[in-house]
Amino acid sequence: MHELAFVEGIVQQVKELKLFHRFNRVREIEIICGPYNSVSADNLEFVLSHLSDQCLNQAKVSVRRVISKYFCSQCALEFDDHDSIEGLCPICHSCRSVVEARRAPYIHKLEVEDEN
Amino acid sequence: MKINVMDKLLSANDAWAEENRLLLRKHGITMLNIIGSPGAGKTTLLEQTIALLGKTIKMAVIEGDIATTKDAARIEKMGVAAYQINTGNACHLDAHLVNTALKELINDVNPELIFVENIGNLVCPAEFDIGEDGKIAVLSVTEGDDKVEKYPLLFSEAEILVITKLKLIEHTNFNLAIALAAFKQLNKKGEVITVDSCSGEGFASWIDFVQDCVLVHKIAECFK
Ligand SMILES: Nc1nc2c(ncn2[C@@H]2O[C@H](COP(=O)(O)OP(=O)(O)OP(=O)(O)O)[C@@H](O)[C@H]2O)c(=O)[nH]1
Ligand SMILES: [Mg+2]
Ligand SMILES: [Zn+2]
Repeated sequence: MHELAFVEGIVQQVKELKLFHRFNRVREIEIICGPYNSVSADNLEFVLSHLSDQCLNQAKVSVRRVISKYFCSQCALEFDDHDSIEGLCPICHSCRSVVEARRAPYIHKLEVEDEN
Repeated sequence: MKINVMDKLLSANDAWAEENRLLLRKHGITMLNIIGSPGAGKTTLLEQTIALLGKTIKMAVIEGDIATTKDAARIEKMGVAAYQINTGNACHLDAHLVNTALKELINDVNPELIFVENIGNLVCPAEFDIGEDGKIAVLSVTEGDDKVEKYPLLFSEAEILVITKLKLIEHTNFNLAIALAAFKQLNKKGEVITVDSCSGEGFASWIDFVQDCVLVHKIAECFK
């Protein structure tokens, strides 16, 4: 049942992204989450497939579980406190794109089809 | 085309959770989120806590259930204000539902401590931040000592694990050492307390824990 809340989050974020990037269909959604979050790609795809929204109802979902504390969305590195100074990515030194990965599920990337 | 997003799936819920935290800090209230499976003894733990602490700390309870107001009625019978949320078929309380209850309880009773009894479920409630100061995991000995490992999210995030129905342990194959080891594996900081809510056994440590939680927020308020 809590998948409904996750899908609500996806719908909302896709709606906002459509204002900036012109696309008419989402082909793939990549989600990252912690090792213990109850996020299932099959369940999310199932709920998405029942949406009347043409943009999302054929989207494939993949879930990647991050064991470490942090995840860098720039270079996809996973790292822990001891590898980093104040949560900065030890490889690309990005700070804005580093998230605390272990707890909550995030949408990492969307693969979309351009208009026309 | 690929688009990098990096936004939380539950960002709408998290915004409400933040709003709840602001409300709690503004009014100097501590909020504890009680999570455990159906029948684990969440309401009974609260009844015994009210009996022992109701005169010392001004409390209120938010009761989450799929259906009925039975748990709220049990709490009110103990002389403490309760706000029942019926989720219909949702398996968890979310931060928005809690926000409505919180505002009403602040308005009506202005408590120092709010317990939220979440929907009986070891999985879904753990996914949702409601703005609480801590999650309390409740596990009864009749559920089996393997549950900590099987439902790791809750146990990895809980501030404390309260093992209930201690008096029944001899009638079960629950191995306390196994449950404790599994909990320590997942959660380096969390405390563990064993109680029997019917006899009151083990409640001194639990009451200390609750009082400390309230005190910590009172002290923090002084430094605001
Ligand atoms: N012996 C014993 N019985 C307990 C204890 N705690 C709860 N019970 C009994 O277990 C049953 C369920 O307790 P509740 O407190 O209603 O459980 P709950 O977790 O609130 O249940 P839901 O709200 O339905 O999820 C009741 O019959 C209680 O009397 C305990 O510590 N010892
Ligand atoms: Mg109950
Ligand atoms: Zn990086």
